[in-house]
Amino acid sequence: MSPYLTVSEEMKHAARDVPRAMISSILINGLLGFIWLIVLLYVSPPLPTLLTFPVPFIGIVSTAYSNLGGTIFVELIIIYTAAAATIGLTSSTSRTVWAFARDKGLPLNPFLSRVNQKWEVPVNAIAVTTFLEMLLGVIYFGNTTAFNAILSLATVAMYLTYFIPIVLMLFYARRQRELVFGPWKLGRMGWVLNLIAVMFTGFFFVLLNFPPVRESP
Amino acid sequence: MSPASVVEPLSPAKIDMEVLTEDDLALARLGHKQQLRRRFNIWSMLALSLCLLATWEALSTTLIAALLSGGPVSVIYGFLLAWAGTLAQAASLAEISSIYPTAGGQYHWTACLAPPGGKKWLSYVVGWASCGGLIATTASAPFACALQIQGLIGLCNPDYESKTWVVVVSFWGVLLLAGSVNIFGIKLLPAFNYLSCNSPSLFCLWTMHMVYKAIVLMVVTIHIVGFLALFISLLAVAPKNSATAVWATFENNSGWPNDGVAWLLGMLTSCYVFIGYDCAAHMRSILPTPPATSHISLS
Repeated sequence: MSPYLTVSEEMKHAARDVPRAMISSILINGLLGFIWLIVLLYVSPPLPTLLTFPVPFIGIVSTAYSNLGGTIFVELIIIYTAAAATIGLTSSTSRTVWAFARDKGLPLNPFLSRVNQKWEVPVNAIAVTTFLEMLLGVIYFGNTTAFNAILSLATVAMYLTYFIPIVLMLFYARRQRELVFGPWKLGRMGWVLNLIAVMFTGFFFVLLNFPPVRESP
Repeated sequence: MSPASVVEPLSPAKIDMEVLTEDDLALARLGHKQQLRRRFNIWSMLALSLCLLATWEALSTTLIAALLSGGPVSVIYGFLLAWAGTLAQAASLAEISSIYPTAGGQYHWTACLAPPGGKKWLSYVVGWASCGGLIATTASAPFACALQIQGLIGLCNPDYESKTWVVVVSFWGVLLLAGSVNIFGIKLLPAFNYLSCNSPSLFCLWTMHMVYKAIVLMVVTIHIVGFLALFISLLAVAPKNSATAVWATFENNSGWPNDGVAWLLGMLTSCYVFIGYDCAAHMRSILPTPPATSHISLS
């Protein structure tokens, strides 16, 4: 088989499969999440009872099952999935840091963009990002709302990275005649979806800078 | 001949959309060895995205913030709004990622899409936000994990009093585990190496692929089958609230005086559980020596 053919096939697949994976994971996860929310709300005890538990979710599950074994099982599932997601997120984060360092966007770029030849992984980028994440945990010593702070930091920063390319696409690149679309395209819906995305992302980008629960002064 | 010696890396000033797309394909041909080793099928990519988002698992930990800022109504309708908004967002980014199927993700797309004067600084801003945002996103998962571990200890020992250091130490433990798996066990994720043409041993790859499949299968099974089991059993055994309590109850316990503001701020929960769907795009750059296509020089 000609390597040329294989490579262009490969490129075509990447250009089509990544968009598909992105959209399907949101459709599937959104559906599961929505059903889960409704179930939790149907079986949840009233809010004041819930707040007496250190982890409110355990309050919901243990009230619903009134059975220790069942609650432990649910907890283990949540803990296992969160740990597994950490592994995948670490891969993704370290690759982004490594790629950005390789493109000379970060300080210490020769160090961060080094790749261990034996294991074929960007060891330095993994080590540095893991270390920085560990530092984020230290905030928790002084402040128990640290979890919310990390959530909003993550959401706001990611929203900025989603916002800018979409704005550029909507207001600049779409007007360029030489823009050549990939195999996965929105067609006429593109304008509309870009506009909705820009409005949604921009609005919540500003709003999510505020803490959802205000400490009483 | 190495691809880098043939074509100089694209600098932001030189990036032109048409040229880039042409270049992508041309360089892909030149860098075919590396490209081949990036083989990645849609199922492993979908499995990865599903488990990275882990929407329902994440909701379990973060639900309380939204409940405080608006009660069930805020949670349900806020979730639907965030879902719809995220779909528009993801569709827009998916279209862009299909135009530029190269490594780097958002900062690279920014450099490609921006007008000449903005390429460099916008790409910097997005790159830094991307690194910071992904670091915080990565920290949020083991944090949720640590809070649940603390809760589990309390569940098993009713006399146990919450201790901050337990949370921090389990947080560190999960992160170190994830870091080590990434450094020493990445060959267990050979979706990236699978079918590699220059692999020393086909058998070895096959074994690793099977191990990888087993891991992915387990996480995906828990994510979907575990979900069904929990959802059915919860509904079967638990006493249920009235429909009004679920679909039409608004309460503001957030400390913010205005109900509308409280409702909107409660959206953090719903928006958070959807971030990270772009990770599939970053995983393309998994290999140590990517072809020159994915380089943009920011210096």
